[in-house]
Amino acid sequence: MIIGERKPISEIAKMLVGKKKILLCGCKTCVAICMAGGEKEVAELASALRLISDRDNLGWEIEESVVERQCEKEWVRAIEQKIIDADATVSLACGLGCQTISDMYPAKHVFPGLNTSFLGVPEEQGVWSEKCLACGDCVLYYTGGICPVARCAKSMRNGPCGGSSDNKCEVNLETDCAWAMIYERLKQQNRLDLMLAISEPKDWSKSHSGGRRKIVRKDLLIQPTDRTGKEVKR
Amino acid sequence: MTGKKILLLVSSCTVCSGLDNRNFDRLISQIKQDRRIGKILELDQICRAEQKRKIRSLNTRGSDRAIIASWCSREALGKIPLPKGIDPSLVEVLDLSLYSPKGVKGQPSPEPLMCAIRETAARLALSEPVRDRRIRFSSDAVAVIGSHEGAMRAARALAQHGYKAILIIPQKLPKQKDRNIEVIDEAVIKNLDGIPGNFQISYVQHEEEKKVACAAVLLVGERCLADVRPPTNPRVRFVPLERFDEFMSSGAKPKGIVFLDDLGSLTSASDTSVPLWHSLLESAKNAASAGLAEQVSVIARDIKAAGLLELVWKEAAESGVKFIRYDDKSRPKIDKVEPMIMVKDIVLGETLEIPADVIVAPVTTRPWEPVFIERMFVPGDWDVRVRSRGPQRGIGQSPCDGIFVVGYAGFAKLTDQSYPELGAVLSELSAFLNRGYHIAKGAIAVIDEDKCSACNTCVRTCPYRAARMNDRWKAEIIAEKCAGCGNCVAVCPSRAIELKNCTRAQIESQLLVSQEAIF
Amino acid sequence: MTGKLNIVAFVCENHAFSALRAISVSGESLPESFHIIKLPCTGRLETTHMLDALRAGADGIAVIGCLEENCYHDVGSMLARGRVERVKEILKDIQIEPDRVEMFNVASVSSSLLLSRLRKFEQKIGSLPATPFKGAMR
Repeated sequence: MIIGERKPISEIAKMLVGKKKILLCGCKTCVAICMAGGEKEVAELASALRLISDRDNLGWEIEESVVERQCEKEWVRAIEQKIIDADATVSLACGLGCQTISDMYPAKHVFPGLNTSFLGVPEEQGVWSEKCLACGDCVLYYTGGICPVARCAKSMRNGPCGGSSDNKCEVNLETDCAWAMIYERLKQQNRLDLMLAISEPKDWSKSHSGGRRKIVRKDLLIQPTDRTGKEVKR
Repeated sequence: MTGKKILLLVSSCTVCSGLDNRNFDRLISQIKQDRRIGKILELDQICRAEQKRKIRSLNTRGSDRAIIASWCSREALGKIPLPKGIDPSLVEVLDLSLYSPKGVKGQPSPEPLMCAIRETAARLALSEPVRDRRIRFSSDAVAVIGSHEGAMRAARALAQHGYKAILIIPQKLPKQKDRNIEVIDEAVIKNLDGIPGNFQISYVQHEEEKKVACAAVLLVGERCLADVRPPTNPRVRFVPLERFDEFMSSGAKPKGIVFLDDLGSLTSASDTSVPLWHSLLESAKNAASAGLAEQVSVIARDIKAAGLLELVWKEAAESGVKFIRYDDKSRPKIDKVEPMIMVKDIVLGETLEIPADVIVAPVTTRPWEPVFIERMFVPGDWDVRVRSRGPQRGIGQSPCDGIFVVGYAGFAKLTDQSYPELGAVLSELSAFLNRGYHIAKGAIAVIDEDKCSACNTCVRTCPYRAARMNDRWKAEIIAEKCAGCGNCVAVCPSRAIELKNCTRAQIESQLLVSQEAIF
Repeated sequence: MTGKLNIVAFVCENHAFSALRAISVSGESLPESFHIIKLPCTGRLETTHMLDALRAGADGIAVIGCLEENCYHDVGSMLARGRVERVKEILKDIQIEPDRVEMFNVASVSSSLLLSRLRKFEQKIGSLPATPFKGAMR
C-alpha cells in the first residue's frame, strides 16, 4: 500500500497562518493502515493544532473528518459542504487524495498534511519497507518474486554488481543485496537457469521516467463517444 | 448519561479522615454543586454494624449508581455492603486515604477529596452495567501433547495423580492398560481453539480429521536430534549422548566418532547447557582414552571451556580428541554417501571431512508447536517468536491460562534435566483444574464494523488473542477471551473500537472535571 | 510560578494503582496537585488524551504503569511509553516543554519510590513557566 508520514506539525501550522476555519480530512485506506492519516491521526493533529491555536490566540476552528478513500470523487463529494465552508483543508491522505480534493474544488486552499513516501509492505507491526517502484513492466517472474528495481540500489536487471559483499549492498551495508536474495530464492525454486540467462535492458519508458502515465480501458468506459458518435479524446 | 443521579455514601468519620467538621462541611457543600450527584448520605463510622444496616435498608430510588467514599482500611472497605437496587458494577468504592493522610488532625484542605469524588462521578455517570461471567470448564481432562517417552511419562504422572489424560502423539503406541489415559496415537495436531477450560484440539489421525475437547493442555518437550539425521546416510549410526556409556561397553569399534552439540531448539541457534557440555566432554575423553575409535572429534559452535570445564577440556584434548568449531551459517552436514561429516572450520576457513561412523548427539527438547505459539497469546509477529514477557506466570505456565509446558528448553538440555519440573507443573495444573471456571469479563472491548478498516492491528496487538477477523473481513472481539485492557482501542487507526466503562467520552469527562476543579 | 499546580496522572489499575494505594498505608498521601484518572491499562492511553489534558489546563501529565517487562497485560506499558515519547516529540515541535509529560514504571510494591518520583516531578513542573492553557477550555 501507499506509505506516508505526517509532516511535522510546525510545518503544517505555518501553512495555516491567517486561516480561521480549518478542515482536516483523513482517509480510511492506505494511510490509515500505516498509521499516518486515519481517524486517530486526524484527532491527534487536531489536538496539537488546537494547542497551538489556544496558546498563540490564532482562533482556529478545527473540524475533523475522514472519508473512505480520498482519491475517489464520490467519497470526497460526501464532505463537499465542509470543504466549501472551510478556509483551508489539510489533507491527511496521500498525494492522490490531496490532489483529488484540490482538483474538485480548485479555488479552495487544500494543503498536504503528509509526505507520501513509497509503495511498501508491513514487515511487522510498526515497520514498513519499500518493495515496488511501479515501473510498469514487472519482472518478478524472472527474479523469483524479488523486485530488482525497488530492492536493488542500482535497479540492476542483471545483478549482482561487483559491490555485493557478504550478501549486503555496498550502498548501504544494512540492506541485503537484492540479487543475492534473488539467487537464493531461485535456487530454492530450482530455477537457477534464470540467473544465467542475460536479460535485455528494461524499457524504462513504461515507468515514470517515460512521463506521467495514464491507462484507458476502452471496455470499461461508460461514455466512449459523445452524442454525435465521435470518440471522446482522453 | 442517564437522568438518574449518583448516590454518594461518604464516611464523615473525623477520626479516620482527620478532617474537622468545618472542613468536612465545606467538602459536602462543594460536592452538592455537582449536578451528577444526587442524594448524599454522611455516615459516621461507616464500618460499624448499625451503619451497614442503614446502607442495606437505604431507599435508592432516583439513583441507579453509587459511590462509596471512605477512609477505611482495604478490608473494612471490602466489607461495606452495596446499596440495594443498584447494579454492583455501577458502584465505585473510593479509598480517600490516598488523598489525605489518615488520622492526621488539622490537615490540608478538602479540595483533593472533592476532586477525587467529582472525577469518579464524571466517569461513573457514563458507565454502563456489566457483569463478569463464570464459564465452567466443559471437561476435566488434560490433553498431553508431545512425543515419545516424554509425553508418556507426563501422561502417566497425571494419571497417577488422579487426572484424566488424553495423550496425543505422532508415534504408534502399543495398547495401554491405564484407564485414566486415553491414547490418541499416530496423530498430528492441526489446530487449537476455545478458551481456558474449554479447549478444542483438532488433529489428523489416519488421514481423518478429528476433534477432542479438554480443560487444559500440557505441552511436553519433544526429543529431537539435530538436522543431521540418521536416514540421510545408512552408514552412519546415531547414539544419544545419554546412552553413550552403554555404547562404549557394547564392543563396537567405529572408525570415527563425532560428538555433536545438538541444535534442535529453535529459539537459540546454539547454546549448550553447562551440564550437557560437561557430559559431552567426559564422554569424548573416555572414548579417546579407551581408544574406542581411530578418531574422536567434537564439532560444536561454542566450545565452552570456562571454569571447571577447562580441566575436562584439557584432559579431553590431551587424550586426543579433536575440537572443531563451526559457524551458524555453515552448519555440519552428513555426506550422502560416505560416513563422514562435512563442516567448514571457521578458524582454518576450509571445509573438513570428519570420519563419522558414529554420531553422538544429546537429545534435546524442541520448543513449542507453531499452532500453540500462535494461539498462546504471542503477539502476531510474522516471524513467530515466543515472548518471555507477560502476565506473571509460575513454573510451566504459558502466556495462555490453561496451557502448560514442561520439558522445553531454550537450548540443548539432557532430557532428564527437564523432567524434575514436571512435579512443579503438576501443582500449577491442579490449581487450574480445581478452579473449575474461566472468568469472562464484562467490561470488554466492542468493535464497530462499519468503521473497521480491516488493518489487522488489533489482531496483532491483543495480548489475549481476543481480536480476530470474521467472515465479513472485519475485526471482531471474542467476548470470552477479552480481558478489557483497552490496548486494541488505542491502536485502532480508525477508532472503531471502544472499551466499556473506559470510553473516550469518560476519559475526556474526567479530564475536564479535573481541570475545572476550583474552590 | 504561582498558583496551584494541577497534574493529571493516568494510572493503570494493576501494579501502578497497587503502588499508589500503598502510599497511604505508610501514612503518606499523594501530593495535592495530582488528579488520578484510572485506566484498565496504560496501553489504553492515546496521544490525544495527553494533548487534550494539556489544552484543558494541566500543568503536567504523569503516566504511571507497570514495569515494561512485567506489564499485567503484556504490552500496555511498552506501548504507553512509545506514545509518551511521541507526545514529547510533538510538544518539542510545537514549542511546548516536553518535560511536562513523563512516564513512570513501577512495581506494585514500590510505593515509596513512586511517591518520591512523583514529588520530584511535581517540583520540576513547578519550576517550569506557567502553562498558557489555564482556563482555556472553561
